[in-house]
Amino acid sequence: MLLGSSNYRPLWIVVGSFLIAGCLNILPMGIMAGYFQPDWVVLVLIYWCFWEPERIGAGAGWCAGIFLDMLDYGTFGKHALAKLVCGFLANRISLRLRSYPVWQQSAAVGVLIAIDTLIVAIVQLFLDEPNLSIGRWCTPLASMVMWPVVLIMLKPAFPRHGFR
Amino acid sequence: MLVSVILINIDAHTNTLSPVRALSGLLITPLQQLVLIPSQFAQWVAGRAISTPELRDQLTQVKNANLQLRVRQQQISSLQAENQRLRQLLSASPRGLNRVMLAELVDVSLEPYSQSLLVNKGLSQEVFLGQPVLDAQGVMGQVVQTSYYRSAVALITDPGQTVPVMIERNGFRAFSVGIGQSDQLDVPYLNRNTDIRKGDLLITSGMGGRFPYGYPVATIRTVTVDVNEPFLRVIAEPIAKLNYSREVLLAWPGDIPEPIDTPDAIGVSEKQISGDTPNVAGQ
Repeated sequence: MLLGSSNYRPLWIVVGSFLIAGCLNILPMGIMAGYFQPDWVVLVLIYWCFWEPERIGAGAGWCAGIFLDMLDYGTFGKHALAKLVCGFLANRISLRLRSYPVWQQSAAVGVLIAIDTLIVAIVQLFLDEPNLSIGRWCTPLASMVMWPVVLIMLKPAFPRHGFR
Repeated sequence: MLVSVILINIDAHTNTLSPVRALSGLLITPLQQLVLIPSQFAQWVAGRAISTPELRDQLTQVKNANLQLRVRQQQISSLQAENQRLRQLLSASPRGLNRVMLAELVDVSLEPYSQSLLVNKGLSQEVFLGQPVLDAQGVMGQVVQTSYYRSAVALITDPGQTVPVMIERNGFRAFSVGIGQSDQLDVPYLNRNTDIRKGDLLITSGMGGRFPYGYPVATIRTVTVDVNEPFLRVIAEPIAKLNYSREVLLAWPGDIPEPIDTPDAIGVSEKQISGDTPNVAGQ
């Protein structure tokens, strides 16, 4: 699966997908359903990291993180740090994971998002806003489940990339 | 990576980024508005679907409530005048009522699992950082971030949010601390011989000058004595409907309220009466 520069999608598709993911992230859910709200922005970030690793990586992750920081009115830089690491890792393992079946990709995505959640939790611990409820660890699980959905949703952006 | 670490530190420990925040809040306002469309539509439909008899019922209820409140209001204004006169006698500064503004919740989910809300008033309505937020029942929290048309409010149950309170029954001062659960507050550092019982009402004490004096905060749910620990374990229940209020009130402290300080106040009054003013004696 070779990626030439001709295979790049226009930038507005990438940015637009992040914006839509941001909307989904702040979509109001009930308290119980809120536990199972996946982190759409990270999912989209990982998607682009997997399929356009030459372009999307740690830097884009940082930008996505700042976007998330803006969205949830927390301390600036918290998500940026976590998504930077997340983007970097996703970028590094992208070549291997692209050829894996979807459920294995899901597992890897779950681990990546767990790492992301862990970093955010550690930063919060340092900032004296500890938030170690069990509920937040549902996010990686929910995101894992939603990974195939992200693949299907963004597939039109990649007509030429077959994936299983 | 270094940049984000620096950014976190700057933002957590200083206020220099607040203009940036104001701008970023403005940038994402359209996104929030977009997200609101489905729930607004649902509300519109629900508003349409209500039947006439139901509406009539509600109207009667509201009218009754209004009448009762107005009767009580009359009493309050005479009480307030009396209170002001008495405080003048004690030469304490008068306690005014606070200016309040109604704000509506913006129904978006913020940081998951943090106890915070977004309201639709911001810098353009003179909302400021640390502003107390109330609802019809009691204290809800304080403004922690502002942008032009939105502000984020940390509820009193948010971990680390501390409200200076006192027990209404005896004026004993304490703190309520949020522990991240929407129906519980912790009241730490109370000695084992503290006079506090189940059902006591905690009101803001006005200490620190951030929350104005006299608003209900919580009722005591349990008081546990643990012999192994130096302090009581006290759990309180917030009075404000933190999860259900659609409208909140932003309060502007009119004048900095001073806490009740009984011995001092008596001292002042005695001095006053003995020192001068035949008119005090006359009254």
